[in-house]
Amino acid sequence: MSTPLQLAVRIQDTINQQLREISRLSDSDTWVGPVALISHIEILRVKSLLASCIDILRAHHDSSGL
Amino acid sequence: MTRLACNPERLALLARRLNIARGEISLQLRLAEIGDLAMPEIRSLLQRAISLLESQEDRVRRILNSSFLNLSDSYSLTFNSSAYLLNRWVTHHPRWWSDATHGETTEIDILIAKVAGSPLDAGRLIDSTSFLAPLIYGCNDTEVVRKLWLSATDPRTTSVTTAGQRITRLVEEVFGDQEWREGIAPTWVDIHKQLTTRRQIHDLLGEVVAPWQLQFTGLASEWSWSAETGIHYLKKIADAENAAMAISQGLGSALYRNLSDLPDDSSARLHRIDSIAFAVGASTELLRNAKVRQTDMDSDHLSTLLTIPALLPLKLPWPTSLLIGKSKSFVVNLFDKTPEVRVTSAMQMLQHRSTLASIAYMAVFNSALTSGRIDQVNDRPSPDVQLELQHTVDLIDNPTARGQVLADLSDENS
Repeated sequence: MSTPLQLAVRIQDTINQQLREISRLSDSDTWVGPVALISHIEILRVKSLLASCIDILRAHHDSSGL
Repeated sequence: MTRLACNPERLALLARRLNIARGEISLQLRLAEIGDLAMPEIRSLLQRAISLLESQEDRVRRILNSSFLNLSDSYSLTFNSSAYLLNRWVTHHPRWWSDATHGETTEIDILIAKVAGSPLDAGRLIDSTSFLAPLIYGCNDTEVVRKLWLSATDPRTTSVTTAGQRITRLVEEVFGDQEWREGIAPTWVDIHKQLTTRRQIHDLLGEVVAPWQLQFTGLASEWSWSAETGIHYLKKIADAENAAMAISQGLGSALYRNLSDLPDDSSARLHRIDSIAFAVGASTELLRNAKVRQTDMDSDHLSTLLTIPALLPLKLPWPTSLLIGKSKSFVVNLFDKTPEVRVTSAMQMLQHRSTLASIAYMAVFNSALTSGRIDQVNDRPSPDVQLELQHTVDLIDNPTARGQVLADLSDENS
């Protein structure tokens, strides 16, 4: 497996594990109080940024023909 | 229905997860800077993700380090677990108030008992909920509720502002509409026990309010409400006989505490003395009326209603006008043959004011001594201080008020 693909897998793991857990913990439907300051939208934004990274890395991997 | 605030353990876990995720992405950023992975877009995207996670973690940690939560104090985790569990219990058991009427320890009894003895944790539990009713009516054992509220409002450990926030909410909850009971048909057992609990809560209010009663009248501005509102509630509280007794017994120490620390500025000092004298007048008049309203109640308790304990040894130079008992004996002689409650309550009020004037004198003297306006206990005070002392005494126990009371009584008996 090429280095770009390794990195893409690693970033995907971050989305699947760490960000999923952060989303669960900051689920605003089950919270009242100061945690409302944690925006779900911001977490989705992080997820989207990482997903873009994965797309670029996969495209780079495919174009390099490895 | 409003819920209790969040669980700090969950918040701490969230902060930790955000930190781990940020660490992982930082590592990916370093990996993305080497070899054929050195792509500007990747670098930019990862940096933005790190920055977003960093700002979220900062916000979570700011909450964790705020006065709302204090993770450096491991006991506060226990407290907040109680708050969280209490919240869940109330959410999932809409008949929580009915549980409290069935003669057995409830979940709320257990949760509140964990924090009731600590002024800090009891106060935090109260402050962390905007739905106060379970902390008043949710326990089968009213003693637990009593301990919670007395801990959270103890004048030795609670500031004036904090006590005001807690007590004003308490009285508004007790005397306001209890919407939370709508839609649940109570059984007769519920109603009977609820009435008993209500009486006990009214008694408890007297104990909670007693040290802060001046903030219901002359010092109402310290609690950001009007004296009219404060007097309205104080009157309602004093309707309960035990509460009135607690208020009466607490007046002397409330007076001493509030007069012992006076402002340095002379006009501010006089203004505070005036406000406190007004508060004392309101309390004693209100207690006198409370006593009159209670003539149908058990007369054995009435004799103790307006009794206040002697606070300190009286070793101070007294102004000539301050002769304790003078007004009392005069009234006793005048109305000796008419033992009606209106007369006895008026006599006791005058005696009460006379004693309170002594306490006020001691407090102002003590304040002058502490602030250096009097050098030695045995020194003769300067003319200014003497005037201030005389002013204090006259405001609380003066011939005009005595004359008015006597005139009122004469009218009623003629």
